[in-house]
Amino acid sequence: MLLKQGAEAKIYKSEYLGCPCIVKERFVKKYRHPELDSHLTKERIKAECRAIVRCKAAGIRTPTLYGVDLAKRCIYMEYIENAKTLKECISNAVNNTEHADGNKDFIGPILERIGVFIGRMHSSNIIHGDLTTSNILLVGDLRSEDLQIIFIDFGLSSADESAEDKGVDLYVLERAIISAHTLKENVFNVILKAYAKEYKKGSSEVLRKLDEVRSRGRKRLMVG
Amino acid sequence: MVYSVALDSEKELFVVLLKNVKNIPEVRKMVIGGSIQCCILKPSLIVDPLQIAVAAKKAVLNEQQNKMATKSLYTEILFNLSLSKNITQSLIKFGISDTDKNAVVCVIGKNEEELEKVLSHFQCDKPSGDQLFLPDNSLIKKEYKITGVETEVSSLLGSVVSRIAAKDFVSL
Amino acid sequence: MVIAIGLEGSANKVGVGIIRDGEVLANCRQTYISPPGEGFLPRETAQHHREKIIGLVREALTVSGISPDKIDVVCYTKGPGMGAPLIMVALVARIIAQIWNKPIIGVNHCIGHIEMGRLITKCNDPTVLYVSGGNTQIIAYSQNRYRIFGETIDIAIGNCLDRFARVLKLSNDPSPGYNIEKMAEKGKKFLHLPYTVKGMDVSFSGILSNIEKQAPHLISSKQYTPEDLCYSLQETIFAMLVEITERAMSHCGSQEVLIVGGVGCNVRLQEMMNIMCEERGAKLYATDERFCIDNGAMIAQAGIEMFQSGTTTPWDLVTCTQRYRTDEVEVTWRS
Repeated sequence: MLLKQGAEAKIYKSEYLGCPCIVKERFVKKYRHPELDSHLTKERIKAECRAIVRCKAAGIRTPTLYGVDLAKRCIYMEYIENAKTLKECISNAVNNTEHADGNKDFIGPILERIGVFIGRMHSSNIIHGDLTTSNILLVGDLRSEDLQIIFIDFGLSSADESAEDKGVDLYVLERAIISAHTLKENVFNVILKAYAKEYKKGSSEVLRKLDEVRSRGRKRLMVG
Repeated sequence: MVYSVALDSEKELFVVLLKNVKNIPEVRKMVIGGSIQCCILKPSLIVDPLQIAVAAKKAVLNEQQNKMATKSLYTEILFNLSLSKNITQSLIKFGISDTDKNAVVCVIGKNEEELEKVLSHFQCDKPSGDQLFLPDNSLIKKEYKITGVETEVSSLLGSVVSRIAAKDFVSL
Repeated sequence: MVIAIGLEGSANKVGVGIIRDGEVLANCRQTYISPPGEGFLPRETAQHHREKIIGLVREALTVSGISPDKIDVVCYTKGPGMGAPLIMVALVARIIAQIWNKPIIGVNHCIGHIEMGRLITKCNDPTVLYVSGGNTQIIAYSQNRYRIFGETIDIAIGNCLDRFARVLKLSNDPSPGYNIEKMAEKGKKFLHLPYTVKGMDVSFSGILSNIEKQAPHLISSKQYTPEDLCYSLQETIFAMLVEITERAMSHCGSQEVLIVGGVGCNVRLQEMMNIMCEERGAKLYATDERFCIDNGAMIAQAGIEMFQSGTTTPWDLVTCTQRYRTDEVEVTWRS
């Protein structure tokens, strides 16, 4: 059963050894040179598997990996019941006029925890590569401490020490939050504060790089 | 009592825990010699039969694609269970040793009869309907390199199974 | 009925165009071509524009049959772009606006490309891929702004191509990118190059430095021909563009793609983008080299839109700026 079709892969719901699973099938991109396509697909499947396991080891929740079939370009992993994306949750909170004020405050603690998890990721030199609000899942009561925060979609991930790449990781998330939601601009600072607290050693350099990347767009000489 | 799951359209995996096995050295010789087709695992390193199933399914897939690292499906399962890229070490680590008293027996076949045939060679207590597995959690954590932070965000089984699935791409 | 004259000269092309009610009555252009192996520099470029621009204004008036008194508004490129050439053209625009006693509007160059693309192709609300020597952006319209969804985090794709052309000492006539395209058509062997997509953004400096470093050795050892290298470079960087375009489309739920900017002329890029669109059931819109490449008419068109929604530029704000983000402009002419 096809659940979703993204730009890169089809997501099916299925069963793996008796467990409910999702099948992530990366399809062939006909516009790419076949060698490039096959190379990229393999690299991304491997990167995704690597990141899923390394994130767990670093204390970040990811789906359980069940199996990989490189020839079929498929990854089989845990189907997470009742998961909502962070994107959906923020949209609902913003559009929800029933509980006017204070309603959005529950988002603060969630963003803090997300900052902590990204801090853990970067401490272990894991770069997510595509940190958008669609790639963070929430399971459970949004107001409870037991809310599970699960990171997914690691196809573009890499293992890197570079502060620049970590800065770009944060930049992508910041852009995703600001462009998709009309939250106050300082909302992202909640994430950054928690991030800096968790990733004591390297975060200041990363934040400096983040500033550089932010202003790069404004500073770039655009000729032609 | 008997855990079973389909690995593909033809092959099914059967797993059984046997207690107080009296003739392990004898049966081991028969497995190595090839007269019985199965693999016998140390129960202490098995969290749940799903762990074996994931390793077995991977073995079956590799066999189909001519990509097995070892010579037989059963040694492949043992290899897949281990984090090590060294085949001999993997077999020693996860395979039953002569001094073990309990054993996890796995058979891949078309039906339970094939399992029964294999089990007939074992001298042990009659398999009962109680708890299937006897994992030694601290041993498993050591073997699979699972530390405290990870247990906050993943079940033991989830961690183990993920490592087995990603073994070819990750070195921990 | 509005008649506008547009003057463009932010890079090495200087152009004058006249538009009346969505009809292009004139679109004249001259390109400053630097010697092979060299890029174009501000001073020589500005000099070139100074030499050509009056002639282009005259030509546009003649070709269109429009006399200055009939023109309603003078439009010029405020930015972004190279300082000296921009100012040169802005100066001329201001002079003719004062002589003819007409209002003047400073136009954002990128928006010129977008509005011309929309006019010519008549597409509705596309995801825009703007690719040129100085820009690589994925743009989508939302709430009175052309928002930048993805872009290059270092150099523009056109710049990457132009610099590689210099390594191969290709001619800059008619443009380095065009000559790479022709070479690539003859390439056969594919070389693996670093592919860098980061979320919705791309990076080209890595692949450029990689191929700049390898090329001399690969060619001299006869492992790859220059044609093979052009081919491999294009296939890789265009695939990166198509990928981020597709991600933006997925994100916005868009079914239309519009390619604008000089690199948009590249047939292979259009081909690849078209394949992606067909697979998604989306439609690709592109213009030809008259409008892909920097031109005066696009400035006139964007100017007309601004003029008709009540905007003009006061004399003391008739300035230029080298850095001018697409999303800085309030798009008052669309709802």
